Amino acid sequence: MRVLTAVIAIAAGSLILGGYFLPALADVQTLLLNWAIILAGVAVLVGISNLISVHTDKISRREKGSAYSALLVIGLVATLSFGMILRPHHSTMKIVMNGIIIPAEASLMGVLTISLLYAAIRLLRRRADLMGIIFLSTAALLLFGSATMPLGDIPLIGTLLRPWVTQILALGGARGILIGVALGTLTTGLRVLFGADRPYGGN
Amino acid sequence: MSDMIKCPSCAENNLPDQEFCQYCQTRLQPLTDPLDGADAPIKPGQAPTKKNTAELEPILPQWLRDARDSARKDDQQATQQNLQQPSQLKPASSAKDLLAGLQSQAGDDEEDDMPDWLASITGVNSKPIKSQTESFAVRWVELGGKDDFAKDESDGSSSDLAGLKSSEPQPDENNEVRDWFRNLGNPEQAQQPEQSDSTDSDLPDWLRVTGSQNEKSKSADSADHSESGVGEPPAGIISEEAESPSDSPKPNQDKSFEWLKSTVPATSSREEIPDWLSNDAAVPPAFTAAEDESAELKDAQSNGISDRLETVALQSPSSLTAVEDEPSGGISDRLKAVEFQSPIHTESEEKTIEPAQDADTLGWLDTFQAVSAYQPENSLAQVDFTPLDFAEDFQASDNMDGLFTDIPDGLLSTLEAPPSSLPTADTNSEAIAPDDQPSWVESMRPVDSDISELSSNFPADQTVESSGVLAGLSGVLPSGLGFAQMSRPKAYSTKLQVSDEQLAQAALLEQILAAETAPVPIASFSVLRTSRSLRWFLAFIVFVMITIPLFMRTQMFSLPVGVPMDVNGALQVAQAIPESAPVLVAFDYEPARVGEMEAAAAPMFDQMILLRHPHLTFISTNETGAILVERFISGPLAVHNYQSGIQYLNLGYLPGGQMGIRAFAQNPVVTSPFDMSLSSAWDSIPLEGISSLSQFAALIVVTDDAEAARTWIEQTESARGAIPFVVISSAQAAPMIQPYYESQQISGLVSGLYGGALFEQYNAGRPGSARAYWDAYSLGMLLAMALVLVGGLWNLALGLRERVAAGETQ
Repeated sequence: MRVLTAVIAIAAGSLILGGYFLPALADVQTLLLNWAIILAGVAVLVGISNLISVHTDKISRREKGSAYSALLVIGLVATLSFGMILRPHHSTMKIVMNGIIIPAEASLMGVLTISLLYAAIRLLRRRADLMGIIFLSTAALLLFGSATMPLGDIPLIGTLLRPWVTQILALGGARGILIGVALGTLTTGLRVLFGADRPYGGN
Repeated sequence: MSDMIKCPSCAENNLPDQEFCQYCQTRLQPLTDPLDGADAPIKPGQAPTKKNTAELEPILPQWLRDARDSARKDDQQATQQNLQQPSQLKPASSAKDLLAGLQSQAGDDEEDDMPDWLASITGVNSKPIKSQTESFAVRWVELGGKDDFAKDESDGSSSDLAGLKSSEPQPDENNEVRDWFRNLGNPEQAQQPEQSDSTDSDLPDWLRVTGSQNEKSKSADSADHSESGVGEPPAGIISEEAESPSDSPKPNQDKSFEWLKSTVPATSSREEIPDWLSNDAAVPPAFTAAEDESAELKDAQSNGISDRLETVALQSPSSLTAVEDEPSGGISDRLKAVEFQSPIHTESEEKTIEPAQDADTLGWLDTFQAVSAYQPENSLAQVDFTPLDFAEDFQASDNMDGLFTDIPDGLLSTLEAPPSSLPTADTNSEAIAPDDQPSWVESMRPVDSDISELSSNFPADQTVESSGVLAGLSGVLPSGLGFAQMSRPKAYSTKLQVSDEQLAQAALLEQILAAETAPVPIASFSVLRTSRSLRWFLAFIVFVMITIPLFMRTQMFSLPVGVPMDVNGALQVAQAIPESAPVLVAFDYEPARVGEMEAAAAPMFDQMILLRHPHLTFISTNETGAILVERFISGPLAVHNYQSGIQYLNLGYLPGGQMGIRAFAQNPVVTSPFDMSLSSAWDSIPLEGISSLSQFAALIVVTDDAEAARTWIEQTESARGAIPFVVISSAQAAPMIQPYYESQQISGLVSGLYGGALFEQYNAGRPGSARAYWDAYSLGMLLAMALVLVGGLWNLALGLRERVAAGETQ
C-alpha cells in the first residue's frame, strides 16, 4: 500500500510538472488539478464535520467550556443553513458578515495592536540589547514615517528614511525570503517526486 | 622316603615324628605354627624385598611414628654431642686394629645379617637373613660405652659413683627379645641335658659352631675368669640375681646378647667364654688410642684411679657388666652416677642425676653418655641389661685384655656408628612389643631421614580408628596430600555479593548517569509580570486617540504627498484598461483587515469604475472572500450601483489553494463554472466571450497575505499573458510583494492605507475612506511611536536597574 501511494503521488507530481513544459500534458495536468480541487473542497467539508463532532462531544460530556462549543456549533449550523438557503449574497448573510465576522476579527486585530504595542514597550526591559534597541528604533521610525503631520509628511523621515527602509531594506530582506521559499519549494517538490518525502503518509 | 624329614643343618634324613635331628640335634619341628603370607619368615638365601616405605609411612600407627620421632630427636642430640666431642670417638675409628673397618661395614649391617668378623670366626658364610639374627643386644655390645663405665667402676677410689646401682631390669623387657633368643633363656630347657643342643638348634649356624668351640675351652676360661683382675663387682651395681650361683641358669639370661648367649648358652662360667673373649691379648690399639686421647681419662688416672679399674676401662665395652659384678664398695660413686645416666633408666631418673653428671663426669664419661645416647630405647627395653651374666663371664675370665683383643671390628664400628643408624626405642607402655610386630612391619621401617621428611609433610593425625581391623589405632589412615576434607559443597547465593563500599560507588555512578540524562534548564530571564494596568492604559489611550478623530471626522493631518512607483503603476493600469473590459479581481483577505483593504482598494476601483466601467469578476481563495466582495460592492463602491451578473460576477470560493489557482489559470471555465447564485458564470454578461485568464483586461489581486499574492503571481504568469497585474495589499504584506513589482511581474502595487491615500489623491479624494481614516491612522502611528519610544526607554532604565540590583545580590 505504501508503494502504491508513493507511485500515485510521484506520478501525479510528474504529470503536473510536465504540464508546465509539455503542452500535451496540459489536459492531464488540468484533470489532476481539478481532482485536487474537489478533494480540497471535500476536505473542507470533512473538516467542518470533524469540528462539529468534536464540539458536540464536548457538549455531551459537559466539559469545561462546553457552552462555547455549543455556541460554535449553533453559529456554524445557522450560518451554513442560512448560506445554503438564502445564498451568500442575501442581506441576512451580509448582516452576519458585517455584524459578527468582521467586527469579531477586527476587534481581535485591534487587541493585537494593543498587545504588540505593549510588547514593544516592555521589550527593552526584558531584552535590553542592541538588536532590541534596533528593532524598536526601526519600528518607531516606520511608525513615525508612515504618519503624516498636519502640514504634510514628516521631513526626512517620511520622505527619505521611511521609503528607503521600506524599498531598500525591507525589499532586500523580502527578496531573500522569497528566494529561500522558492528553493525550499523546489527541493520539497523534488523530494516528493522522488519519494524521499511522503507527506501523504507512509513515512 | 618321601615322609622323611631332611635336617636343614646336616642334610641328614630323619623320621617324621622326630622333633630334633638325630645327628646334629637340630630342631626339625618348629615351635610355632608355620607362618605364611606376610608373616612368613624369610628363608635363608632370600634377600629381603625392598619396599618404598615412604609410601606406607602415613599409615603407620602413631606409636611407631612417635618412636621414630623420638629416635630422630635422640639422633640429633647425639650428633650434637659427637660434634662437641669428636676426639673421643674419632680415635676408635681411626685406630688400626681389628676394630678398624667396622665403620665402613656399619652401613652393610642391614644387608648382611652376620658380620665378617663373625663369619671369619665361624668359618661359615653370612646369612642373608638379618632381621632374625640381629638383635639389639648386639648393638648394646657394640656401643662399648659400658666398658668405659667398667673402667671407672673398677676404680674404687671414685666415690662419686657409689650408690648409683641401677635398678632391676623390668620383666617386660623380655618380651622384646626374639623368640629364639627367649627360648635360650628358658630355665627348663637349660636344665634339660640336651638343653645346649636344643638351644643351638634355634641359633644360627655360626653361633652354634662358635658355641661348640667355646665348650672345648670351657675349663681354661673358667679358671681365667676366677683369676681375673676384675674381681667381684661392686655391691651397688651387681643385682641380687647376679649374686646367685653362676652355675644355675638365670631367667634373664635370654636378655644377653646373641653372640654371648650362643657362646654361653647355659652357664656363665669363664670356661664357656669363647676364645676371642678369653684371650688375654693386649688392649686393642683402638681403645688405647681412644683412651690416650681422652683428656678426661688422663685426668682421672692422674687423680689416683686404681690400676685395676684403669685396666677395665681399657677393655672392651662388654666388660661393663663384669664391672657390675664387683662389690658395690669397689665402685666409685662417680661411676654409679654415670650408670644412672644410661638410657636404661627412665627419664625421671636421668633428670635427677643430671646435676651430678654436669658437675663430676669426666670427658670419657661424656663420651660414654654420647654413645649411650645413641642407643635406642627400644633395644634397651627389649634387651635387659644383664650384669649378672657379664659379671659371671668376667669373673671367669682370667684376662679381660684378651676379651678386647678379640672384639670384632663390627662391635667397635658400632660404637662409632652414626646415630642415625640406631633405632629408637618406643617408650610407650602401650606400644606393641617387637614380638608382636609382623615381619612386614619390620621391613617397612623407614630410615630416619624418611621419617623426618614424612613427618614434615603430614600433620599429626591423632584420629583413633573406631572400627575394623585397625580399631584402636590412631593415625592409621591419615589424610594424605590431595585428600581434602570431604564436606557438602558450599552453597553460593545467587544474590550479588557486594560490599558497602561497592554499593556506595554504584549509587554514585547512578547519580552521575542521572545527572547526564536530566534536562538542564535553560537560563532565561526572570518572568516579567504582565502589567495589566499598562495594557489597559494602552488600550484606553489608543482607543481614545483613534476613535476621537474617527468620530470627529477631523482632517488635521494632511494626506501623503508624492506618488511612489508602485502606486503609480496601479494608477496607470486603472486608467489604461479598456472600457467595460472584463477585469478579474481576486479577493483574498481576511475580514479582520476589511478596513485597511477596503480603504486601500476603494480608490483604485472607484477610479476604474468612474473612468472605464469595467466588468468585474470576483473570485476568492478565502472562504469569506465571496461575502467580502459583496460587502465591498455594497460598501465603498455602492455609489456605482454595480449589479451582480451584469456589471460584476462573483464566482465565489475557489478551493484548492495553489492548485485551484493553477487550475483556474489554465481553465477558468472548468474550474469555476458557476457563480454564487449557482448560475453559469461563463455565460453571464461579465464573462461573455471569456474562456481564459488571458482574455481579461486586467488582473487585480486584493490580499492581505503575501503568500496569496505570490501564488497568484506565480501560478497565473503563464496563463495571464501580458495582461496588467495589480496587487492591492495590506501594509504588512507590501514588503513581500514589493520584489515582484521590482521584477516587473506585477504592474503596480497599492499597499495599505498609505497607498490608498495616495491613490485617492489622484482620484479627487474619492471615495474619501482613506481620508476618513487618515487622521486616526496618523495619530495612532504617532501615538504608537511615542509609546514605543517613551515606554521603551523607561523599561530600558528599569531593566538596567534590575540587572544592577541582581548583580549586587549575586
